Amino acid sequence: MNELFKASRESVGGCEVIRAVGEVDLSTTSELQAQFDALPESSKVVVVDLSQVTFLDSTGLNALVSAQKRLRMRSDDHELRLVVTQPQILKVLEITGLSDVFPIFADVEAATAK
Amino acid sequence: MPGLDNPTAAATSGALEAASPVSLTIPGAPEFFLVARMSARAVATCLDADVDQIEDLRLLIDEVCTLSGEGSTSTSRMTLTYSWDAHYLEVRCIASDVGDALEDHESRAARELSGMILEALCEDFSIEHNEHGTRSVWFRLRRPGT
Repeated sequence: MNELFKASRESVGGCEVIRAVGEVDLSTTSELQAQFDALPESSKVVVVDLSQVTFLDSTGLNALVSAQKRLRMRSDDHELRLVVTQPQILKVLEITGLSDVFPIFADVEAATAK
Repeated sequence: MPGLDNPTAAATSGALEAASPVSLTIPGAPEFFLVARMSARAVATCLDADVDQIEDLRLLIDEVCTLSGEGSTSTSRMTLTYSWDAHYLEVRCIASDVGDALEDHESRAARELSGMILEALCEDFSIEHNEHGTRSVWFRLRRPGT
């Protein structure tokens, strides 16, 4: 159990929603990765709720990119969506160009409604 | 120097010109990167950085720890040194007793993202791989708070 970061998963409206809370760095990325590894094979749309993530570094970004690639390898219409509300998280996505790679939503409701 | 004879006054007035450089040594394990980020927040706060600048410095410090600490072992150590003048803040992270960086696809992709973050947030940076298991990452940015 890492006090710095927690992640959980639930199904919402046919989507798999991974809720992340805390700081994502080299010491905690494995917990986020574990959530991706545990996704059902049938997962088509995966939403990662980063609204309660207060720090995200390159290792966390790389985990998101890898998960997106794995989903896309199954089918082109499989997708990883992000919920981002913290400005510093949006900024790191923007400066790495990943804000153009992931569909970004303001809340889980919007991310699962599409 | 104002405040040197009165530490309380120095702390409350922000008279920290005499404090540069600041150094922190931590084990090379990623669990200690949080401590490095806390040092970034402390230094940035002392320099009157705004919230965005504090977050930028936290991210930069985390990235230099990640980059310099690749191939860390239980005996690895990292020393972060912050130094600043009226115009610039420089940080050097020297990791000792580190092995070779992994060259698999995942590691290269993560390094590429690190590089993009450093490129975007600092004025200049360098990564030096030295002999004897030492790796050094340095960056400079315009001093926060100015």
